[in-house]
Amino acid sequence: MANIKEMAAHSQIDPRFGSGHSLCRGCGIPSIVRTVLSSIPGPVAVINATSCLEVATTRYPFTAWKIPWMHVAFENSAAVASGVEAAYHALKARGELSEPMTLVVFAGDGGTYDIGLQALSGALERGHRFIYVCYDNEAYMNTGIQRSSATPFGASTTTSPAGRAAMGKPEPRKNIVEIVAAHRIPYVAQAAMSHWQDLSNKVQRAYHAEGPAFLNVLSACPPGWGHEPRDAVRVVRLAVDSGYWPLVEVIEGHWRLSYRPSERVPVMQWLTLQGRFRHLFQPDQEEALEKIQTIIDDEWERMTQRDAQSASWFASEQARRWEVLPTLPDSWEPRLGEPMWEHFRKTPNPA
Amino acid sequence: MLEIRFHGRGGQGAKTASQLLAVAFLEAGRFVQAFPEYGPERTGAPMMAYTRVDERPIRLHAAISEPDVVVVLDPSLVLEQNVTEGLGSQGFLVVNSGGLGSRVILPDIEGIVLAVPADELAEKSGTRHANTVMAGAVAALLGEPSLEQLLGAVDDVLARLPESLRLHNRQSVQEGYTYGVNALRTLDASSAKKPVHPAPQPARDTQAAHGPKLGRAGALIRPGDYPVPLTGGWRMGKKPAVFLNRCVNCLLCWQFCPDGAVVVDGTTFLGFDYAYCKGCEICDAVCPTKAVVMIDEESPVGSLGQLKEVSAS
Repeated sequence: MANIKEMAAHSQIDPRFGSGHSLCRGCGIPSIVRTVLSSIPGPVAVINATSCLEVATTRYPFTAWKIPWMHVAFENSAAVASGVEAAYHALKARGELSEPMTLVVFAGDGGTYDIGLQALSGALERGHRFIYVCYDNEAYMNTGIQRSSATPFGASTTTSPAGRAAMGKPEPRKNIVEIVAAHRIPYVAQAAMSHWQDLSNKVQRAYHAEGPAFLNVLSACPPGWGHEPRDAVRVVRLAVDSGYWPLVEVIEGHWRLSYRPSERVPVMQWLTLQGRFRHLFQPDQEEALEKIQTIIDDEWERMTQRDAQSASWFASEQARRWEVLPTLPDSWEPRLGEPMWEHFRKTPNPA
Repeated sequence: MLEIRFHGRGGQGAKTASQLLAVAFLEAGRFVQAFPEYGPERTGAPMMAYTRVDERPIRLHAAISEPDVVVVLDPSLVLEQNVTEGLGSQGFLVVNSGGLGSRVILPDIEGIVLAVPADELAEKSGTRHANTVMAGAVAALLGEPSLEQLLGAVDDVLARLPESLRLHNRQSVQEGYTYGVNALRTLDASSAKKPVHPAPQPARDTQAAHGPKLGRAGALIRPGDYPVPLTGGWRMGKKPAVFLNRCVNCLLCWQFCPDGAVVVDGTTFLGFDYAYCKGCEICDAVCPTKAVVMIDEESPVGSLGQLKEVSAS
């Protein structure tokens, strides 16, 4: 387990993701990326699907990444991760690489819920070992706030606009955690940017998983959700505290709630902070508001039932080994492929 | 052919201003083009927009590299970018002096340089955006399009806005136009084409940020070897500062800062790196002891944004 100070110290010993990217003011993504990367001991390589994170951190000729990083298309990040993992094993078998490697995939909700779903499903079924992190900002923010299948019921986006004829997106969001859990992989979790300790613990469990691990992390998006940049953490925290975004994990098929708000706040508090739900507060929209609360209550009920069902498993010996989390190193470790980079460094740059 | 280049930040309306001028020129019977240029940038990132005007159909569709007029919507861009690149000696530069007034730094160039207090004029007209003011000022300096054509263009380009907002924008165009007409008179009277301020010295950090040029696309670079662009210029008038005596070193600001602008030594909080801080105020929002405060960009601070508590006694 790593606390905030250990993560801060680790991120200085081994910087992995830095400043100087062009993500928005108040964006939730960098906090997620930093927490994920600084919770993992040892060398890390990143596969990044096309997304806000990708375009804004690697504007030619700049980069905010300080570790091996590869950009691939929306649809094939999990497939490429499978290939990188296979190549790593091949190099290791031939004796050309000796270090351990943690492979992390970052993709947005568009690249995970929609476009990258088949590649993800294939990679999960084949059992490649990587940590797939979906940072979920609930729409295609990079291309200008179009609805995705992660967009919640009632939210207004440019392709599900609120107006006289419609009241935002008429369909509820897809439950990606259940879809991924149906692949029976060792570790699946849902986390939120506001609950960093919970997120860090889940990353470390995913690090231990001998097979694919999947994390769905709620980000914040000031321009897309229509809130002040300074409210980013507050908005995400309310999503968790209202039960809209339950923090769950599925370990070897057993569901549990990793965090239970002492009292669930009405979802209204979360909705009122965001411009994308503004139209729901018109006089004739009570029905939609009730529907949102019902969707959340039903989901919460389902989660607590599952949590109760697996209580005995979590008390078992088998579950206990998941509670042992790695500690972060306090001195510098060699990075992945260091000797290879030395070779390139000696080659003069054709200016 | 007349070529106008707008420098602005995402969200300031440079694209709208370029379209506004183009539509007004169209009314005046010219052939026009207007288009923005930006990368994967976000609200606050530097971007450009172009307007091309000619008496004949325009066959050129490239970005404008040798503009006749350069319009800068944000004074901080003068330090961050080479805004006068390609601007000829006959050209002119119009800079929004923002809240800086006469302290705005203007580049030392041959042509006419004019600072317009566009933020003030916009506020007077009831809008937050200086773009329409600047469009008015440019039209006045050029002598074309006319104010009427420009006001018609406001209704056309901003047709999707409510009438009340269009009204404010018409007013701000008018303010800008009047300012431009008056400025032109003073320029004629003194016949001086010289700026009143010395050439800016780009900040050391800015030079570092641009770094060496990469040899070719697809070149392999060692992770972490390449410099990163600075994003401190994205702030909109407020910066964070800290009273260290109130700080309990919880590092929540470090955790949630999107820009890695919180400076930590080992496990100890030190302050802020203004070269990267975009001014989102998250550090202020999450600070449990109110040690972090948002202050005016111009206020003096100690190193890393540290402040000394003034005792009441």
